[in-house]
Amino acid sequence: MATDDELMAVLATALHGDDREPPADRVASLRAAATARTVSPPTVATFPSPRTSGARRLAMVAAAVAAAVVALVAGAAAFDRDEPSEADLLAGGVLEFETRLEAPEDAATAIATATGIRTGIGRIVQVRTDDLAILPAGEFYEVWFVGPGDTPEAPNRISAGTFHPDEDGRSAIDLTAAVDPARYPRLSVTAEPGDGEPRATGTEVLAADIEVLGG
Amino acid sequence: MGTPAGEGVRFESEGPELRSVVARAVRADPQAWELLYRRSYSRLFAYARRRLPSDTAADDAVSETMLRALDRIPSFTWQGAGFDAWLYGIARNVVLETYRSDGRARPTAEVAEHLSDHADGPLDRLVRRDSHVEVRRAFSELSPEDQEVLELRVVAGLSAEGVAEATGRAAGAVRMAQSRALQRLRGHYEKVTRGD
Repeated sequence: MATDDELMAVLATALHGDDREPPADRVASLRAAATARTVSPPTVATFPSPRTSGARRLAMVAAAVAAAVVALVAGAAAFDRDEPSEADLLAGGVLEFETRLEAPEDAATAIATATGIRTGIGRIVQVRTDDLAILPAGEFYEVWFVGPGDTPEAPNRISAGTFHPDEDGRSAIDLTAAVDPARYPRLSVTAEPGDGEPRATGTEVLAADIEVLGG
Repeated sequence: MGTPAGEGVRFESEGPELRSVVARAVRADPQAWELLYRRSYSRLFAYARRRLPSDTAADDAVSETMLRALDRIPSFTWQGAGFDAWLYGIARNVVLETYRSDGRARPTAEVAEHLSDHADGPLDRLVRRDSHVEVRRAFSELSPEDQEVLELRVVAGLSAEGVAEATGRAAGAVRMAQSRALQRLRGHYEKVTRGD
């Protein structure tokens, strides 16, 4: 072995073990842990201490995720039992507006469609887009009805709700809003930091004026 | 859902493909985390296995490393020595904590014996007559500190800056440590090939 580089090269080959695949259960547990972060940020109660051994910690995280999913499904089923379904409301509703939201001029190109269906409980606002980036855990998009004269210092807007894209980057959401679009004639979607601040503090990513059908 | 078993994950050490996957991992994309696990597993397992007493212990250490990486990825930046250096820094701490929680430090002799025995079985040692066997034996004679700097450089593929970040040392000290470790490795190798 003449040089350090040659010695390093032989050492690299000598020490390099066989390519291995990680155990399937460990991969599944890591995926579950990542999925849990897209649902909600980690809490002390949910995620065990790093001092717990690796296998046990992954197993505990996976169990916590499974329990959270069961609770969500049970809760949703209980909620729906005595209320008219969204399908029923939509079937009985009246198309109030349809609009195409676009990104501000200096932002990346993105579009979305928004449809408002007036129902007995207000209106259902359906937003559809494949163009919004998946935000870091804890952050979310928020839909606003914006009125005249709205500024950061003197806001005149009402939130219609929050959402985040699914893992494929698709957003297909239905929000219920009692806001009158004739008084708040602009739709805006902002990317909010999830800091607990109820006002719009994030960047506007999509916007459009609303033209109410039928006057 | 998930990458099919047996499908290797290869992408350039710190190239755009890795950066894209890491960007998705920051957003807690489960598929990105699976890719990172599969990409890093062999090397992290080998690193841990050389220092821990069993395959299970090594798998535990690698699992814990990935889970901590998931916890800490929001604070990762590309302004340091890169993703691999960051990940190895976590792995190193996991292995050190395993030693402490076991209530014993592994003596140098035990580590050396494990290193020389782990890679080859008896049949391999009988039939393989190439320099790799001698190099591994010489490597096992080095101190744990020498072994670590060489392993992180040649097996993990970290730059001197990457090893520095993973071990909490200055890059210049890493280069000097590498040079001395290679010198000692060369000395041990000559002894091994002479049959000393």
